[in-house]
Amino acid sequence: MSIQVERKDPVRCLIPQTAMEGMRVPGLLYADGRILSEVRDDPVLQQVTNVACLPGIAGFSFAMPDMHWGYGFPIGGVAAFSSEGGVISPGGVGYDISCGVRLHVSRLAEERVQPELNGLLDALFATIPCGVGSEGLTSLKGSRLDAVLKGGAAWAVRNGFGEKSDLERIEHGGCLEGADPDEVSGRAKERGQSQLGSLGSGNHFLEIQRVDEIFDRSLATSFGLEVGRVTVMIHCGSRGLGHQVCDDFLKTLSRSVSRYGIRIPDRQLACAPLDSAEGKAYLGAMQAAANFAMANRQAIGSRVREVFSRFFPGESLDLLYDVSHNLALMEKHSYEGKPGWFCVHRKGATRALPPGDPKLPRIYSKTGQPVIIPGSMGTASYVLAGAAGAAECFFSTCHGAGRLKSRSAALKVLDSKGVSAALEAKGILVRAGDLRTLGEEAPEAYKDVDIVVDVVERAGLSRKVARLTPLAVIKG
Amino acid sequence: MPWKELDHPADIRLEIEAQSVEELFRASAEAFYSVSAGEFPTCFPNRTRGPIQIETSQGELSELLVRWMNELLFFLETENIVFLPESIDVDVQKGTLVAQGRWSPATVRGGRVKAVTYGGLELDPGPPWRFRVILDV
Repeated sequence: MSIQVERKDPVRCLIPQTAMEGMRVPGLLYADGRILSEVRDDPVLQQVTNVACLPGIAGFSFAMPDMHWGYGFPIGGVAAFSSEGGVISPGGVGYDISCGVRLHVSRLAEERVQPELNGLLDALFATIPCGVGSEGLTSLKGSRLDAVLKGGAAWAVRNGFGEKSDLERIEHGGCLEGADPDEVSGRAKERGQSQLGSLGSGNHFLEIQRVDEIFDRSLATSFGLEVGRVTVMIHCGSRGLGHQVCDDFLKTLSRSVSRYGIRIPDRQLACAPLDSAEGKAYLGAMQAAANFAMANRQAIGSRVREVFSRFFPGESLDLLYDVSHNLALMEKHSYEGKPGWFCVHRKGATRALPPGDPKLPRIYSKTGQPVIIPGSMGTASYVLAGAAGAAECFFSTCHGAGRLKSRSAALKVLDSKGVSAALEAKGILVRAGDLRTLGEEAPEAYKDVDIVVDVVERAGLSRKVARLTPLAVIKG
Repeated sequence: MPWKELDHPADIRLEIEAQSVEELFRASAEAFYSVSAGEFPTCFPNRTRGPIQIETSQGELSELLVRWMNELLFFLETENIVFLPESIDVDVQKGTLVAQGRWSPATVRGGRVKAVTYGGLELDPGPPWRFRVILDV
């Protein structure tokens, strides 16, 4: 079925509320001509309209320019549900709860790192567990795992992973206080108990990068970014624990929809009213899984620092920011001229707070929130800053390049050895936990991140600060 | 091979075909292990660990199939073992499944599939039965 799309301006398209029966709001796509042409016949547009049918949705069913076909909600989807009559849906968060990305910034010039790069990459590959079935840096059982689920990155810091000052550089101070470990199933805990401090597989990675270009000198200086300096980006999430929480609650909430008389066009959109027992239980479990993810990234970041300090004694590797791009949170927003509470689902989308937002830590109150946008292997990543224009989409922006080609199609272009050789020909060193993944995650399988970021800046959702290019990649 | 991979931009979409419901569950196990662990083990030591039992309240075959594959995923990820079903007793009306079989250590650690999803789930009644499912990787 072809979905009706109307262009509003060069970077916005509307799916009218009349496009499908049952839509409560229109869809709003952030897309220029090229991005729209890439998704025009993709199921992602149907998913945008499906989300628009859910009770209590406010404004629009949004899709960021890195949109692609997801489960229930599209990847790149943003939807806010009113605390009065709205719902919460695991499909709006995704399986990898609080999958996210962090950026560590050094004062080291690329020239100083290059001679050590091969050894540094080997040392990081030996230290940071990655790939299919990888086990973490520490094993957790019983009350110790519950403490992680309750404490998030703060637990990690208390247990020797990183510094207290890191916490203000993580969204929500590294801990969601509404987490309820009792709502996390025994199965989810069993899957997570040996995985803290591991990258996992799929599109997760650790990348050593150089600052390639600065777009806003003042913001870049505030963020400690200068052309030629070396940074480290870490992309991972809540591993099997988060996946099991999602699966558990899809089952629970699929029963809720009939109990509460909610009609859903796709069973992966299973949901429950925000004020229901099931909805509150999912919110508590999902926040616990998010705390696990933030602790996971904090543990990995801490070990990366230790390895760096062996190669470059006395040099710091400061955390710029740690952001989640799969989360649903209760947030206060002004909507239709009135303040109200909304459960904002961001699935493959990043929160992006503008300068002056009271939720920002003091260090970023004047700059706006740093937004970290990972590219794909061999292509650029970006640092953005939150901007006032994002108020129209509940202060959200894109999360990455977004997939374009299937895994099998990617492998037809280049196999894993070919991808590795192509990257090394560009001077990018590669280590992979799972060789097959390398081919499937080839840069050619993704949209052009430069265009994605260009669209969110032109739409006023965030400002470009710096472009980062890879020197070395560890692929999960 | 009773299954094939269909096009999907991000993850792995499978179509699994069988002549009976029981065969569909066997074929789903083979497809899952082949995609997740890279191969379906051919050597199964006579190791007993008990049957796999699933109960759902939905009474839908497609839900049972997803639950079945997620059960296999759980044991592969947490205990690094694979299951060869020898007899499968499915009661769709009651939403129950009991599978007897043998367990074997997996040849690779863990699996690349992170979840068997309900997204885009399709089941064409048979024979031949055709089941389409997306695996999150």
